Amino acid sequence: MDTQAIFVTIRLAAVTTVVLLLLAVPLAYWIVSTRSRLRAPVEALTTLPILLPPTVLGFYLLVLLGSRTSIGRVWVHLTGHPLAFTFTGLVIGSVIYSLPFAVQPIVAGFSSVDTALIEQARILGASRKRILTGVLLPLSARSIAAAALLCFTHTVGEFGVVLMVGGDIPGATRTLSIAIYDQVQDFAYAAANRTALLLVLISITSLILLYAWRGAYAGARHE
Amino acid sequence: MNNPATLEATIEFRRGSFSLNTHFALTARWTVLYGASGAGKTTLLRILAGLTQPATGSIRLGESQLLETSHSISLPPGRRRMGFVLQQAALFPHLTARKNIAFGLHQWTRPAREARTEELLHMFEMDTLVARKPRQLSGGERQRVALAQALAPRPELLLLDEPFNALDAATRAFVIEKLRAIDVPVLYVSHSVADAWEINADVLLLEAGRIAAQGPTRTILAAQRGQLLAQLQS
Repeated sequence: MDTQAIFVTIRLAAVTTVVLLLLAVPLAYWIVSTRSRLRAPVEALTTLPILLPPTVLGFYLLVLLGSRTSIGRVWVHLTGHPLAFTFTGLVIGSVIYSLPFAVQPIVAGFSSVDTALIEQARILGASRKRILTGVLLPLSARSIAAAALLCFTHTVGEFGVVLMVGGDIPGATRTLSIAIYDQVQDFAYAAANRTALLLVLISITSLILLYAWRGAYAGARHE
Repeated sequence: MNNPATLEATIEFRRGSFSLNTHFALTARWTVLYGASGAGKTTLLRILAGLTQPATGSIRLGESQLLETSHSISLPPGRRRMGFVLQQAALFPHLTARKNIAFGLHQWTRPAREARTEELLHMFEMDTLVARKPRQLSGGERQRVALAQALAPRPELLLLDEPFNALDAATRAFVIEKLRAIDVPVLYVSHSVADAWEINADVLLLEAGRIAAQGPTRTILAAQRGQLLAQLQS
């Protein structure tokens, strides 16, 4: 078993999940509370990674993070090395790729909170920040946990974006899904089988947890 | 001689085929906003509370100008110093009764917040309910918590949108007695003549988005006496 790939995969999934939650919570709050005309385009953009082939997303990210764009040049100027084919570049790619898996459950969670509660909080003088932290977040805790689980599992199984943006650098950007690809290329089917089984186990465990939560939640609501 | 107006409002609002066009002043401690379903009672309350914006209008509460559309003034709901209680109490389900009551006191110092919460818990005889969450409370208990929550920040006007409909007679009498003892003006929405008759306050009669009449209950609602008798007999 490629332990380096396991470590890189878990680290990538954990960092991506944390970054995604930090981005998705305020973004979801804006989506459910805004009357701006930008809402539809922003929702479409956050959903786009579900529809785009990962290689298309990876290609554009590779170009965007490269030294030919101002973003890439600023990054090189600040850090001395390009973003592409680094762990940081991989995190940026993963965050964009998994964004819909974070935003959509949280938007659904926030939308399911009774508007009478939001209005009561406003009448009682709560600021937007307090409505988010004191009402929406606690009442959407299960949706946020589901979003975290989906992001983590989705990142663990990433292949196209990871290969395009991160390449295949052992200990830095080679994840379990890339390791399987390498093992099959080397005709090491037994090793590929073990790695694939590990990914299946991670995915099925996450899904069982997700559905168990939903079941427990539905049961609690009907008590 | 009339008391100075607690609240003075001129409101023009339109949504689809419904329009609200009113001008009124509240001078009594208790005013019943009476009207049939669809007359615009809840919309009017929402506009007063700042939850719905009218096309044009002006609202003054005591010395404070809450709304003046001609000068682009519209205070947010939290700065209007109004309490609002709905028919279905809007209590935060993740908070205990005590924390629900204290929700609007977040800018108070901790000792002041705790003292005010204790005072209201005691007033509404809820000392044993403090640690319960809304789903562990009966309908009457939930409405008492909702009233205490609305009263906690010491509002200058209490808006009640048929909050006692689901209460039994004893709980209802208890709550009304407690509210009468508090020095806060009340605008009480009802579509029941019996309700308005029992409260026996000033009445604002709202018909199809217009204030049709204003005055003492027994004068304004005399025409509804037959309906009242029918209700009492039933």
